[in-house]
Amino acid sequence: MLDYLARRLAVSALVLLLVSLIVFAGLRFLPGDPARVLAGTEADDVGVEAIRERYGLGRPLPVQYAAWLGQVLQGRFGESIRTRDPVARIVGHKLPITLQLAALALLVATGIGIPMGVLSAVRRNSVWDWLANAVSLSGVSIPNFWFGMLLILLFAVDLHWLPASGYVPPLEQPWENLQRMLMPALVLGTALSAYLMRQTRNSMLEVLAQDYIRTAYAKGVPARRVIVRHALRNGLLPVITILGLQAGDLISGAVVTEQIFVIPGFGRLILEAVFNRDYPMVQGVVLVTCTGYVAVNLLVDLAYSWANPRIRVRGGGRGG
Amino acid sequence: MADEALKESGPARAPMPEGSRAAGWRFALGRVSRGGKRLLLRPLAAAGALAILAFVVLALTAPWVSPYDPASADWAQVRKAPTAAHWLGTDEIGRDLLSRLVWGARASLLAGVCSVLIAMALGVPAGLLSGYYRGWTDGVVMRLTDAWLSFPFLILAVGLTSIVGASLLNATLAVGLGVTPAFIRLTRGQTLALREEEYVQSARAIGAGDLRIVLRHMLPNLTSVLIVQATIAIPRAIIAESVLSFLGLGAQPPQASWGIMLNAAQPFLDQAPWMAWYPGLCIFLIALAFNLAGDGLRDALDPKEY
Repeated sequence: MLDYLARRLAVSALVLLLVSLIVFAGLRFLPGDPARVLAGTEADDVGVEAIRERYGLGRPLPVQYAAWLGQVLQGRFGESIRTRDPVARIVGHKLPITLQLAALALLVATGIGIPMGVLSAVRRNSVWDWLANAVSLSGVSIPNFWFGMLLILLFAVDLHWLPASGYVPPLEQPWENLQRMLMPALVLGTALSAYLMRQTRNSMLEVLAQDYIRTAYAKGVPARRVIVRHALRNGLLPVITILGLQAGDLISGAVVTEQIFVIPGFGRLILEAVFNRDYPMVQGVVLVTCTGYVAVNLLVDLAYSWANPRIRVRGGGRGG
Repeated sequence: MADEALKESGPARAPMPEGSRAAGWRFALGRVSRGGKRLLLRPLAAAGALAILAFVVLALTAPWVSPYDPASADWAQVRKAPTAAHWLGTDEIGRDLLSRLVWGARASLLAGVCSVLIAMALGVPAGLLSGYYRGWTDGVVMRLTDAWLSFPFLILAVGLTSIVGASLLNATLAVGLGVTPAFIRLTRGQTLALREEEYVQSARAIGAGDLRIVLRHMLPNLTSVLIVQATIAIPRAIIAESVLSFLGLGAQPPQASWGIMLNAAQPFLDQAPWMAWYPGLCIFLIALAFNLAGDGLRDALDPKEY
C-alpha cells in the first residue's frame, strides 16, 4: 500500500510540474512583451520597467521559471492586474461559493444518477430501464446552460416560485441562499447525473451477472438484501472513480452555471480574468483548479485502492 | 475420411483478407459498411442518422433556404414574437431568428466535426506511437496526456482563449485539444491489444517495417472503434462549442451561432423567451441525433456480434 501511495504521489507531482510548465509557458506565448502584458494596458514605460524588474523578466527563462515556481509553491500567485490584490486572497474569497454549489450539485447528481442507474440495472429491459435510458440520453444531449434558461423561464418568469438569479451568503440568510442555489445546483447536478446513471447501470449489470449473486439468490437471500448487501457494495466502487473524473466536468459546469445565475464565484472569476486580460489571475486560477482536480483524483484513487485490495496488490491505477 | 478432413479445413481456407496490398483496409471498410447497414435497421439510430443528414443539408443550403439575411438588422422589428413574416420571431436588433438558426447550423456542425478531426489527427498518431513502441515513448506520451487531462475542459479553453484570443476557429481548436486525450487513450489501448495479435506478429516475422505494420495492419482494425468514438465525441464538441460561444469565448457577434444566440437571449428571458427556445432546441436535437446514431453504431460495429 505504501509503495502504491508513493508511486501515485510521485506521478501526481510530476503531472502538476508539467501543468505548471504549461501554465508558465502560456504567458510567454502571448504576443508581445510579457512585462507589458503583466503591467496591464494602462501602464506607462516606467510601470512596465518596474514590473520587469520586480518579476525578473530580464533573466533567462529557466531561471524565471524556477523563481516563479518557488513563489507559487509558497502560495504566492502574484497580484491581479486590475485591483492589485493578491490573487491567492481573491481565489480564497470566491472558492467557498463555488464549493457550496459543487457540493449541492453532487448531492443532486448522486441522488438522481445512482438510484436511477441501480433501478434500470435491476429491472433490466423493463419500462423503468427504458425510461432511465431515455432520460440519461436526453441528459447528455441537452446543453446544460440552456436547461438553466428553461428552468428560469419556468420557475422564475412564469411561476414566480424562485428568484431568477443572484447570490446571498449562506451564513447570513440560509433559507434565501438555498432558494437561490436550488436551480443552479439542479442544472449542474443533472448534467453529471446522466453520465453517473450510465456508469452505475453498467457497473451494476456486471456485478449482477457474477456467480456470488446467483449463489446469494440460490441460498434464499431476499432480493432486496441481495441487491443492497451484495450487489451495491461492489457495483458502486467503480462509480467512485467516475465521480473523481467528473470533478473536472463539475468545474467546467460551474463556470457556465455561475454565468447564467449570476453567482459571484470561482467560475465568474475565471471569465472576468480572461476578459480583463488579467494574466496573473488566469494563471493562478488555472493552477488552483488543476491542483484541486489532481488532488481529488489522487484521493479518489487512494480511496478506491483502499476499498479494493486487487488494485493495491497489482499496483495498477490511473494517472492524473 | 478425406471428405471429413476437407470439411474440417473448410473454414480455415475461407478467403482471408491477408496478402493483397490493401486487404487490411478493404476488410475494415467492409466491416464499417456492414455496420452502417445494420445501423439503419435500428429505428432510433436510423432516426438519429436521418436527423444528422437533415441538419447537414440545412447547413449546406443555408444561403438559399434562409428567408432573410442572418446579419441584417431591422429596427422596426425588434424582439417580435413569431409571426407569419418571421416564423420564429426576431432578436434584439430585429434579425430573423429562423435565418440565424439555419446559419448557426453551419457554425455548430463545422466546429463540432472539425474539432473532432483535429483531435483524431493529434490523438491517433500519438496513441499509435505510444501503444506500438511502449517503453519511454509510452511513458512520455501518457504523462503528457495526464497533465493535459488535469486541465478541466473549460479551464483549458479559457486559458487558450486568453492567449490566442476568442474566435470560432480558436474555440474549435480548444475543443479539439480538449477531446484529444480521449483519442490518445483509446488508440493506445487498442494498439497495445492489437500488438499481440497473430497477424501483427506474423507481419513482423516476414519482415514488414513498423510503418507498414501500423498503417496496413493495425490502423484498419482501429477504424470502427474510432468511428464510434468520433460519433460520440461530436455531440460533446458541438455542445462545448456552444458553451464557449455562449460565454463569449468562441464565435463572435455578429456571426450567427447557436451559442451566441443564447447569449443574446439571456437578458431578455422574460420579455422575449422565443429567442432562447429555438437555438437551445437545435443544439439539443443535433446532440441527441449524434448520440442516438453513436449508440446504434457502437452496437452495430461491436465485434462481439460476429
